[in-house]
Amino acid sequence: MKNVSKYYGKSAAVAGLSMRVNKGDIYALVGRNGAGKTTLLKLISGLTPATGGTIEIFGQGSEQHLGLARRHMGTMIETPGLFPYLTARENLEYYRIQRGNKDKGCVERALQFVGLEGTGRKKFKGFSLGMKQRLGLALAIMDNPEILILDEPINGLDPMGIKDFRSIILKMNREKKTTVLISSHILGELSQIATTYSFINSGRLVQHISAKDLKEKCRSFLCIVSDSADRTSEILKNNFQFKNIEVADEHTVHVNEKVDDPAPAVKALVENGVMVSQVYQSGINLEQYFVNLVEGKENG
Amino acid sequence: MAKLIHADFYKTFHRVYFYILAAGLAALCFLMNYAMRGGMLGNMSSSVQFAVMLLEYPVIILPMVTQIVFSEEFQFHTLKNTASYGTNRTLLFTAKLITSILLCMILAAVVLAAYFGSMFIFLKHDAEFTSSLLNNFFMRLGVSCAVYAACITMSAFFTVLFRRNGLAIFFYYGVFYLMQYFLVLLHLEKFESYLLEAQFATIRKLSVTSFQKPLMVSAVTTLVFFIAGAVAFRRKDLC
Repeated sequence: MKNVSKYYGKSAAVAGLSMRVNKGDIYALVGRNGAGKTTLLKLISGLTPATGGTIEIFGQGSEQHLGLARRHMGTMIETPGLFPYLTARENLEYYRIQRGNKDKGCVERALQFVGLEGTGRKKFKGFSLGMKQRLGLALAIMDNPEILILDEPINGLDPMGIKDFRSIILKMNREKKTTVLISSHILGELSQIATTYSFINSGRLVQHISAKDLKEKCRSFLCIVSDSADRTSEILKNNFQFKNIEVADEHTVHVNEKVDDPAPAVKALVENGVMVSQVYQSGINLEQYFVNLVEGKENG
Repeated sequence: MAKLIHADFYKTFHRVYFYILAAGLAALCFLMNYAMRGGMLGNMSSSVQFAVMLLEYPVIILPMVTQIVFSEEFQFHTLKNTASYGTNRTLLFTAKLITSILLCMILAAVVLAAYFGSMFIFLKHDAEFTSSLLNNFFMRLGVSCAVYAACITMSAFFTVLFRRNGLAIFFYYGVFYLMQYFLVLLHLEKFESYLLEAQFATIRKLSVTSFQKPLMVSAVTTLVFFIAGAVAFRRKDLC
């Protein structure tokens, strides 16, 4: 996507946003309500026309090519939209016919994949929220898409459903190399599957970061505050096996690795005449990182 | 296109609504011929002439078919599944329109079968019931079908424009039945004869030499609402 915008009147839902999703990525879109995530997914899916900018899928950007490229995409945007008076099987059969998929077995396989093969004559309107989400996912994966676009897909799923969903996404990504573009408010869940993150705020891309880099930024560390950071650093290096010691300021040292018991280190510092005033474990999770980023206070 | 129509037929025939609609209309036909039996008009030729008078009434139920095919897709947010698959929106709109017309033709076949069936059951065969009377009726029915197609296109346009079925039906009936009064208010009475409703007056006339005008008006109306509907649908946000 290059400089893509979507305006509703004078209000920008997406404002000049550029991003690139690489093949095989599980790409997480993170943003607060109204940040523009759903609009962005709708633009990619062709559900709403862009006000400006260009969208390319598989490197093709013309309307005709986008139409063809979208046949290799599976989408679930907002709540699953299916016919309430049809059964799960009939709903999928409707779309199988519409898409001209000659493989009649794809309906049964998709239902089995999401665990809805036993719903029989039960109509969609009688489904629980979680079952509706599963059927929406079944529709998205029915045609073995190369790209899967999922907007808040785990809303309404129970813990088992979330676990199943996660394994489905990871299985598709690992076995079929499916590229996944996913938005969710449940950041803890995203952090278990995403390989890349984009943080969006007010329709703009705030940060694009790989899961590895984000993990590095969110890592846990031991913080030691003393009268001399240099002396503390020197003592720790000489007496312990710590490999990643960082002097944050003249009083603070960060030990950027897992320290199960800081007591021996504190004891050594005190014995060497260092005045230790504070020792604590620090670090942030994805949620805190996102809040800090949006509030303009990246990483504390 | 054929796949889209096929899928819509699959969906429509997997619900009770369409069957109830067809059965209800068929029952109405039986009831009408049953009510006519034994009276002054209790013969087949009178029934056929009466049927000509009824040709305007299907206009009332046409939005129900558009609702089955199109409006409910907005209501249930199912169009997003089709559009996100890369289906061309003009093609999708056209397919919906053709499906609606085909379903109306199926309903018409059911209604005609019920009407003529009950006519043969309940009414007397008379001398005026000739093949020329039937030819005349079917010619008028054919012209009416052109007007129905225009009505379906208009209904589809309002469905796309408003999404809400109630509002779309309100505008549909408003335009069909009240437009003549608006034209009078605007001192544009001379255009009244180009309205769809006015075409049924021509179709109902006892002696008509040409149905060219109703056909032309229907064709132009269909074209205008088709283009407007297709353009509106292309720009529509689907969610």
